[in-house]
Amino acid sequence: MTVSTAFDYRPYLRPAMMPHILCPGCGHGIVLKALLRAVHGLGLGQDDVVFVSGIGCSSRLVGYVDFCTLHTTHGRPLTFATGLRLARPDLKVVVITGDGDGLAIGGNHLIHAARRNIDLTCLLLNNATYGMTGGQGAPTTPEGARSSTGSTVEPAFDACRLATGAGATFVARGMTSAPLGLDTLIAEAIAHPGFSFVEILSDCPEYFGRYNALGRGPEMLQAQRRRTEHVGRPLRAKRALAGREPAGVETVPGGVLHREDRPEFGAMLAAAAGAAARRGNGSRAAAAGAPPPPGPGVRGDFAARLAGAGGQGIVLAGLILAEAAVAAGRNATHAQAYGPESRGGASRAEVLMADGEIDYPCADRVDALLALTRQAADQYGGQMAPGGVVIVDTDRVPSPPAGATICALPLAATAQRALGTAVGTNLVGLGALVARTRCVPAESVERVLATRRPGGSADRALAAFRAGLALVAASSA
Amino acid sequence: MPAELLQGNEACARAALDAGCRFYAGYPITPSSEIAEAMAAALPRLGGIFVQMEDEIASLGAVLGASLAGRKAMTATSGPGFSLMQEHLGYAAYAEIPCVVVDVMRAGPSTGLPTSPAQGDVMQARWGTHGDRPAVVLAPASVPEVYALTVRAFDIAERYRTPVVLLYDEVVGHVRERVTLPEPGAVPVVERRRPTGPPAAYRPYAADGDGLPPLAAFGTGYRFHVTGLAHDERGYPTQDPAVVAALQARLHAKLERDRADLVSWEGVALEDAEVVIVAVGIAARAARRAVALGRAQGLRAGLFRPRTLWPFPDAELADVAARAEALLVAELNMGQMIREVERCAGGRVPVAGCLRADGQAITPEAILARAEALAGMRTGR
Repeated sequence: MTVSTAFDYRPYLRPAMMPHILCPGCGHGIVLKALLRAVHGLGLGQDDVVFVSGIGCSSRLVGYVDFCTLHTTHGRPLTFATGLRLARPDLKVVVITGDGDGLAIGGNHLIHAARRNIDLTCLLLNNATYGMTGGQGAPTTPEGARSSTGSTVEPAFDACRLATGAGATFVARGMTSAPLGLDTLIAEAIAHPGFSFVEILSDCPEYFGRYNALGRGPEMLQAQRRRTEHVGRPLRAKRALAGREPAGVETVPGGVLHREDRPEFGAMLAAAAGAAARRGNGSRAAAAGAPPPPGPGVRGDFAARLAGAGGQGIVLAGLILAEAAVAAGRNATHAQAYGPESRGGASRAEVLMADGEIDYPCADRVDALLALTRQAADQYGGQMAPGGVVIVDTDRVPSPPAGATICALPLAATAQRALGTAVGTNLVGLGALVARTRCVPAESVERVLATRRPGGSADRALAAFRAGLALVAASSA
Repeated sequence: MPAELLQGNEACARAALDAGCRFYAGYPITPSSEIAEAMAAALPRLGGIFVQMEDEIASLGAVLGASLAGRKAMTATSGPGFSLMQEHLGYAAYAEIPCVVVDVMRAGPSTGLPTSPAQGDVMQARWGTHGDRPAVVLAPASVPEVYALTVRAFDIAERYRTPVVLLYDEVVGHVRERVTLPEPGAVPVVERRRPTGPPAAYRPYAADGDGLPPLAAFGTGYRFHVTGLAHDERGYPTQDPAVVAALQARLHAKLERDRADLVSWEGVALEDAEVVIVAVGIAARAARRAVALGRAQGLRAGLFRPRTLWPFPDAELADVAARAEALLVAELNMGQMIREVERCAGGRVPVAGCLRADGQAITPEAILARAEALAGMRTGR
């Protein structure tokens, strides 16, 4: 890109924001000018591009330019930019961040933005220090360099290798000492469809330069130009830059370091959304049709507790019971308690039914308890309402709790016989509970099972439930 | 819509969609994850965006970016994630970016009891971010109310350009109740005001007029600056004490002036109540039962249930307190809302707590026993 000295920056600036806060000799202004030339060169209008930044000296740049500009929180500009870009994929979004902002507090967001390959351009202005707060060590301060917090003993990040490793599809390194090449690099990055990352080596003469006796701005720029400096290089490289060590110190590469084609995140989301739309509306419709009138003999207010271990389908069985009550035109609530485990641990569901309002959706004493483990039977067997019934599995709860009306049935064995597996014991138990208590019409449960298809098969679910109904019928015959 | 059995978290997602929410960013956390799952299933079909971010900080950051792009946007989390979101909540309040944040409370502090209910974030929701800012926090107690207040949260967020927190406990999030939802298009919703004047004259933080300046979407011809620094009417950073003071005054006034529009509460059997129970969420459900049980035994109990924790219905509660013999605060924490209640009581009426912070829901029987003891103390029974 050829740029004449007559380039007019004024249309892009906010005069009311001047004077700027940057120190004499700071490299960041060079980057801002290169960025404006790049935007101009790409033919982008001021309403086509949004600038987003974090906190730090470099992040102040966005305030000085007449675009939509978003000066966010420390380390988080990529998160705001992600939401902005996904919501408005027609906008170009350029993030300006510093080495502390982007690699320390915001490092997690950098690697995830790169991994997603979201179409943002991230310009990381690396001056190897925390300038705004007074020259503390940064994750880019070279090992051995001095800062306001002492001599650095940590190794530094190589920002470009980090971005490449995390999945950025365009990675480049530019220099404030080569401003004409810089706008070309930035323009290439903005034009790249995907996550583009440009580390721009800038200089902080005020702190890093002073602490390490590297001279003022001009000296630091000249040194940078002689040897493209490298974040993570030992201090001897910095000293070499200042001419205090012999030449021949290794240099680091500048320019475009990595480029690949990979699907862009927003486009992937749009494609997935399109595929979902073509599959049609898969959301489960509410059970259709007018509820049947409550059958004869259906009880009034009723509380059931289902208890067992995680993975037994306790919560699901309770849910089916409650949905059946609603399908039958009644009011119902379903409350659950569970542990952090997806399998094992205790699990409990409480289902309340009424024809009026239910003020408190948790049960104390219940009219029916379905206990699928011995622990559940022991724990809740004493919390029965007068006339309540405890339904247990004959095999799992060989000695049911005393003092309650017990209905011991071979639930698991019945599931095994009906389905060939004990998975489904919950639905056998549900059938037994419904048959024994008549708290909801069995047909309502069957309608829910047919709609919900627990376990993926309505037929098998219905078989299990009906086997439970039959168990009670046989035991009371 | 036909009556259906719906979970609290599902109702939250359905309401958000009906209110026009078209952007969700979140990070998985129990007991809120059903909201994310429902939004992930529904949003793509509606032209919306669901994105799972790398943490809760990023989630609210993405929500704010999307809101500035013009979308109604939300996230949902629980205590640990809500702690991480506090800095961005302050940013949203200061930069006046509409958003809805749902906190389904679990027992803390720290990782605590991830699957158990609590109401320990009452004060975090009000004071969690640094600095001074007004807060709007809604506290539903049932599945139908989760739906209604989620819609309301978006309306308030868009109308007042403010973050709104929807705060409810794990029981309300996971309980399923019978609800009859409105048809999706039948829900009246509020859209944020957009500028209509010439872009050059647009001031996104204008102090004149009603103190509620319109918010342009990025990329619509209105070029403006948004920052978390103290700012003037243009959004430009300033350290001018007079400008900063005016900004703080406007941010507080815009919500305080419309307090009557915002504050919401429910009273049960308050007319002759000698013991007034104050509770939200599942504790209020238990308190409602306790009131019924107490009344059946001759105890004149009543319930005062804030639907807005912030602004707290303090004048309204003070009025009720003036006619009561005692106030009893039932909450699932070691005593948070009780401080607001004590402030309202002003020492004129005794305030007692029925507190529980062991991961279990408070029971009607426990509240009733405490209320009976209070009544007995007053009357010498």
